[in-house]
Amino acid sequence: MSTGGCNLNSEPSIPDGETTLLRGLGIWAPNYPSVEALCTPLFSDSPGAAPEACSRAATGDAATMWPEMMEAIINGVRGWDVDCGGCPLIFATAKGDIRRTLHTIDRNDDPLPTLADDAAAIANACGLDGEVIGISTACTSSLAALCEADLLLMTKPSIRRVVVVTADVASAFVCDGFQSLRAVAPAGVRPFDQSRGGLLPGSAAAWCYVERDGGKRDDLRLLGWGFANDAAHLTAPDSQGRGLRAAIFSAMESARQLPRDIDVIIAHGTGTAFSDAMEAGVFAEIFPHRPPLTAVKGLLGHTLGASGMVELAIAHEMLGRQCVPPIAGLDRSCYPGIDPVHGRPRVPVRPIRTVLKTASGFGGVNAAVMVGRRDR
Amino acid sequence: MTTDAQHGDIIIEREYHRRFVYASLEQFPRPWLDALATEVNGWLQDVRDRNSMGLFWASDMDSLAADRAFEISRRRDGGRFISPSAFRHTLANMDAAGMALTLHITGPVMTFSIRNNGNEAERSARRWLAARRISAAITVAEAAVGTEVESAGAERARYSPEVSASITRYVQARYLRLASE
Repeated sequence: MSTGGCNLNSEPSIPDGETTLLRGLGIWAPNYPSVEALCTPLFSDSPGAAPEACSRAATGDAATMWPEMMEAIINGVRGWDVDCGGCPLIFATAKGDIRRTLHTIDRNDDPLPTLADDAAAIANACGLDGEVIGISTACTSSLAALCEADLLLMTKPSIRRVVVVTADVASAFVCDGFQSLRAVAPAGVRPFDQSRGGLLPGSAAAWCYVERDGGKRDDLRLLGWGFANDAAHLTAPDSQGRGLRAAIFSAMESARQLPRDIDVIIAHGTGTAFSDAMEAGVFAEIFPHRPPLTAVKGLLGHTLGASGMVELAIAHEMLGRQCVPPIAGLDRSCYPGIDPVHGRPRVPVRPIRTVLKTASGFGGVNAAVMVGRRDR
Repeated sequence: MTTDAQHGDIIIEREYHRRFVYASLEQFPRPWLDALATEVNGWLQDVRDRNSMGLFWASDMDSLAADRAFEISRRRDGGRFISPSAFRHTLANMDAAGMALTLHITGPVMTFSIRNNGNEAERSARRWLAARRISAAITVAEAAVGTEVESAGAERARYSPEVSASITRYVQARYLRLASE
């Protein structure tokens, strides 16, 4: 079984008692402008279903969404009570401000704006004058950004903290694309359900700063992470889930934890047949103790590169509430060997200490991130 | 073979530089990707373990050529002939994904969007290596002439989808590995 090639014995030494912390984590989505606003329906008995993101985008809502997101990000970053002025910024996105790109192409302007320009604009608007990094690894983008932030802190002692921002919009461009692939659900997103029919693109932004210290009890701690590539197909997941499996093992090795230590899984859970089946197979194989499994895209839609970080905000809530939200849209699961939570929020038998968040995406990318809180 | 000055145990095993000139944006991706794949494939002939090898990619173009092609298909005939194959390539990581598939690299594949901030792909690869999260890396940076990716002293050139004159691009690839491996 592949372990992702991680070598624990030679990992750089980290000062005793210090862990990587995700602080100031905030989110924005069209119907849920804060973590609180999202968690109210999410942790309710009937979390509902994904909004009709595609139809709204097609009628023009996406035109105003990017500026709204930027405003939320700027307010979020400026609202922190720490100085991030000279800190590096990592901006993660799958498509960035695609409307601006298309507009520039229409006008024959030069140079064409890229994701790096989006990143620079965000840094400028947030008053951050440190190094700016733009990263784009499809649906794993924001998880990749957090891991790059961890690496920056690990390998550059002069860096105290790193700002991570992510945003993606369910633009008409994106919605048309998924529709052309026949991947869009005709009647709502139903992750892991026997009647799952596809995904719905959604829009979201998230922001946080990453730093190392002893942390407080409520801090969200980055325990470990792993990345691996399928190298099997450009857009379809590897049917055997080899990349996802390797990413999960790499994450567990870096966290020095075993499969039985995972208390809850937040799956990628797009609601597409291939992706759900691949994930379910991998989880069933690695985690025979069947930890509760949840997914968020039934409520929020698939927020592309931003989804990972948005869902880590929910992991933080789960750790605080000691409760797992049900999968919106799930009625009856068709996958053996996993324990998807449906119907009502569940208080697990054992305390939630470690949450595994996974994501996979176009290009065969797979990410696994483990987060937790200090016990006392 | 040279040893990295900052991280003494990182070796630059192989290196590749090449300039590509195109007549239009649409011609852009394929020739240089094919040339690069041939080159790097030669580097990796004897490398069996590609699980602990990462691919780190940086471009100042992202997926602009594919975005444009897909957008044209969206606008043609009221959107009746939207191209799913064009959409597949409208993500910035798809060129890297294609290279990972060709070379069967199953470690991390990271893609960075760069403008004037240099070769983030190589900086990231060095972080992964220094943290011992991988044992080897292929780094690829592809950018307009005039960026840090280009060799020093070359003439600056601009690019635009509408310019019929040449579009000049510069590609740099490296094979980095830990000396201890």
